[in-house]
Amino acid sequence: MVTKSKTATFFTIFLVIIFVVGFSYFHWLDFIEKPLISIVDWSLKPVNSIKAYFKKTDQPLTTDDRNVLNELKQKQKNNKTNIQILTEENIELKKQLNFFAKNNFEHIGAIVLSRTVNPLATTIMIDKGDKDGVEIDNPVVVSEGILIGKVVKVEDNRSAVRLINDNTSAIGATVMNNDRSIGLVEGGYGLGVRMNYIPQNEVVTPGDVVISSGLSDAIPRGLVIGTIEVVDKQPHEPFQQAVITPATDLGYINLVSVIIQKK
Amino acid sequence: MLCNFYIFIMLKSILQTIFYFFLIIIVFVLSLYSSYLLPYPFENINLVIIFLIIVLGLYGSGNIVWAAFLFGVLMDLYSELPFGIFTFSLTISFLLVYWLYYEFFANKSIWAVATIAVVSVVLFRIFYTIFIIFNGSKIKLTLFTYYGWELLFTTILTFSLYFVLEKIFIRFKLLK
Repeated sequence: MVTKSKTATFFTIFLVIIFVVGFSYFHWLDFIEKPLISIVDWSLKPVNSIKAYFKKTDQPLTTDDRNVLNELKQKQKNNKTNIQILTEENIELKKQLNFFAKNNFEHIGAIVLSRTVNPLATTIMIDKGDKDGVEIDNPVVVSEGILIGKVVKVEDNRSAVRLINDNTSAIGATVMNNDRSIGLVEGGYGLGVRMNYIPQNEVVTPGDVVISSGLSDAIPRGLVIGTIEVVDKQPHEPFQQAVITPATDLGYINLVSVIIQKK
Repeated sequence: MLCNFYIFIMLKSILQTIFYFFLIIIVFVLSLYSSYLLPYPFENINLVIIFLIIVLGLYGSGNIVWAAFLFGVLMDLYSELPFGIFTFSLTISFLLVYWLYYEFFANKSIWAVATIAVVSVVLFRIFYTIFIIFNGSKIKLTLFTYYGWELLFTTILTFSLYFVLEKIFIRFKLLK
């Protein structure tokens, strides 16, 4: 390759990339992309089970717990992890059903396939897409109405969801204090979630619950985002900021519901 | 007889291509697992670049550019960004890295491999950052913390794995 003209090689590869990107844009490569996605998605199925296993073993146990656990491990060696996952999914689904029974939202349940490949973005892939009625900007919730993010990319049978701790995520929010302070909840490359642009004269205290304000497109008011952990108030600045603890562990999400527009 | 020989060569070539294709998919799936399961900051290890650099270091083949292209396509299929950003960034980076390797670092020393690992991560992230800026993404300083972790862990792991694999390959005479 190096013996040929480098410029010719560069332009050949450049043209191949342009053709592939163009063909993909017009869906002419679906016959290759879909089998590839099926193979990779199939390979990713155990990822949540593995994550669940490690999450379980992270919890501190007493000596009695360990003894009981060892006995259980021996008796239920083969199906323990499956039961645990099913139980967690059951609890999660009950919570989501409970939330949607109280609220008049149209929704679709979805399974998390994986995080997207880009470690610099905090996004996840879910198994519902355009064919299921998912649209860009649809909010995504877990448990009893906890907002985790919104849909940013939709394909036929899957979608990408940008989580609230992603650097480019920005969602209008309200603090449940006396002033009902409004601000913007923004993420920072998975390192945390902050609420910015809170008016300086309003009183925000750690422990206050933060919910969606309804001012962002397609995100209804009242979805829980998290609680205020620390308030950063500088007298010379027009706004105060707050660090928010998300209401759910954003690194461990298996089942979600997408709130869709009523037709 | 000659015809049978050509058929054998062709079949061997097809089987090799299929093998490399599935090897690339396996490495890609492993990279997804590592980014999902490993805790911060280890989630930033770039297994795709590690694999490509080690293969380049061991075999020095120009096919590494096409492997990078296929990895880029797979990454784009699993990215929230517009299709093409990863394909372009990874392929062009590895084309430049291959030229650099061929011209200056073809002695296959472990230091040469470590150097091209650093260069490939830096080039890949430069192209990637330019594209995401054009895509309208905001760039925060914390992004460079992630780049730093990725560079550190990817280089260390490439260095260590190459050190071990080179010895194994030489021991079992797997290198041409």
